[in-house]
Amino acid sequence: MMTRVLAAVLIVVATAPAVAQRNNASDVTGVSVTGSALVAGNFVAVGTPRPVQLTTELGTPFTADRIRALGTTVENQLTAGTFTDADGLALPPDVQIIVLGVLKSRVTGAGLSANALRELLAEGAPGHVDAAIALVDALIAMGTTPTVPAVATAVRAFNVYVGVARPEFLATPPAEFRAVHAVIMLYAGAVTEARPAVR
Amino acid sequence: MRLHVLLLASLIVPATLTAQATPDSAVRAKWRIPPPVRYPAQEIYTRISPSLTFSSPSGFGPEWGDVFFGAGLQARTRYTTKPDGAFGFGFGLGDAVKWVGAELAYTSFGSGRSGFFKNATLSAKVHRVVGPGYGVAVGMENFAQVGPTSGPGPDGGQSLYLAVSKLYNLDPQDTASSHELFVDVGIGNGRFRTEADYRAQKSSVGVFAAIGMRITERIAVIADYTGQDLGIALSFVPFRCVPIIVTPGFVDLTRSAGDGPRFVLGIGAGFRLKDFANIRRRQCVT
Repeated sequence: MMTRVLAAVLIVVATAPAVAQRNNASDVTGVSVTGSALVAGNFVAVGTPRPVQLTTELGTPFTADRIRALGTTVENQLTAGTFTDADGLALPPDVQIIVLGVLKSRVTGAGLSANALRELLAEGAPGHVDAAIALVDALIAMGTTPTVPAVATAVRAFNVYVGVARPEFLATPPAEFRAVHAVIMLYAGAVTEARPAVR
Repeated sequence: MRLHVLLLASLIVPATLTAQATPDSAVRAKWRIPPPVRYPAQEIYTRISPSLTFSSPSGFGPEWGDVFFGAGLQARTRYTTKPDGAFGFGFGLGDAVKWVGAELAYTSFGSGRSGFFKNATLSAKVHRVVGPGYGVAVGMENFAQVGPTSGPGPDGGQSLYLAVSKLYNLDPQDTASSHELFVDVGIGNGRFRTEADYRAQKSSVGVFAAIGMRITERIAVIADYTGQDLGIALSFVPFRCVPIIVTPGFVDLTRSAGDGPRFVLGIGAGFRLKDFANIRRRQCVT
């Protein structure tokens, strides 16, 4: 396409019966071709040195800030007992405390919440304790250091668990499970929303 | 009859099987979380924007790795009914943010009848980004004639200029917004003098200014006062993420120079060579 347009430009110029008229500034009283004025907009530095780093391996450089901000919001809601599941339904305050305890267990050093959640999830997926353990570990890692890879790992662990959990458990899941689902959904959304501005 | 029974059975049996399989898979699908989308790492250097000036020089310019080329057409030149064309290309040097950038351009004012690459010149400018969206440039147009068959040189002569440009984001809450205002002012001799001074060969300095308003991602309107007369233009990017800019306009609108309004057209392209693959993939920063 670009080649065709350039060819058209050359044809236009070539077919113009151009002569360098003298003494009326004919050469310089049209558009400027003595520099980059015709494409000046492309070379405007908009404030940051180029190159513009549009994306990292996952998400944009702004993603990390977004995830950190989300982490604070989620923790505040869990602390206040106002966190809801993905459908906007209320969750019992004691469940919210457990989930908060898991997210912050590496910080607080208290593993009771993590143990409680592991046992609950293990009951929901008999024979797949490893999936339950992996999910809780991923939650702890994400809560401790909310990075893009940590979120991606948590999503994978959650989906693996969903793949092996009993259908009856998933049909009427306990509030803890709904809370975990909502937390990971929010983090995953924060990553996905940070889509690079490639248009 | 038997056929009807078989047909009915063929409809019922799969439906029953599906009904049995659905609750398990449906409940799992309900809880699965879509994985975060993975984007490949990439760097994009070239901003693709409609032009924001078309006759006055900008305070910004290309840097090392940037190239540009373009052509200009006047439907008629001043005081004549004859059209005229010119084309040119150039490249950038240096780094305008860290140190200083430089632009070197070749222009052939000869085309068509007078011959390509005849009456050709070199132009140059140095430019620097002095703050967010601020650019300053000093340049000399047509500082040298080039080519073994050069004509007598452009009848506009040489022009030394100083240009200062500022780009304003009109929607500061949205860093990706395309609504921008470009203000460009400068002083220069040569073609930037008034027409009276130019005709009298009077050594003087004129003032030029351009305002470009980017109204959408791919369209801008420009008012450009060259020191002699006012021109207006519409600049647009015809193909998404392809750095070709088309700028039709009218010059000599206020009749302070020349013999009335004239139609002009510019077509140019400018990009960083490293971005060629991104351009082919139609990925860009606007």
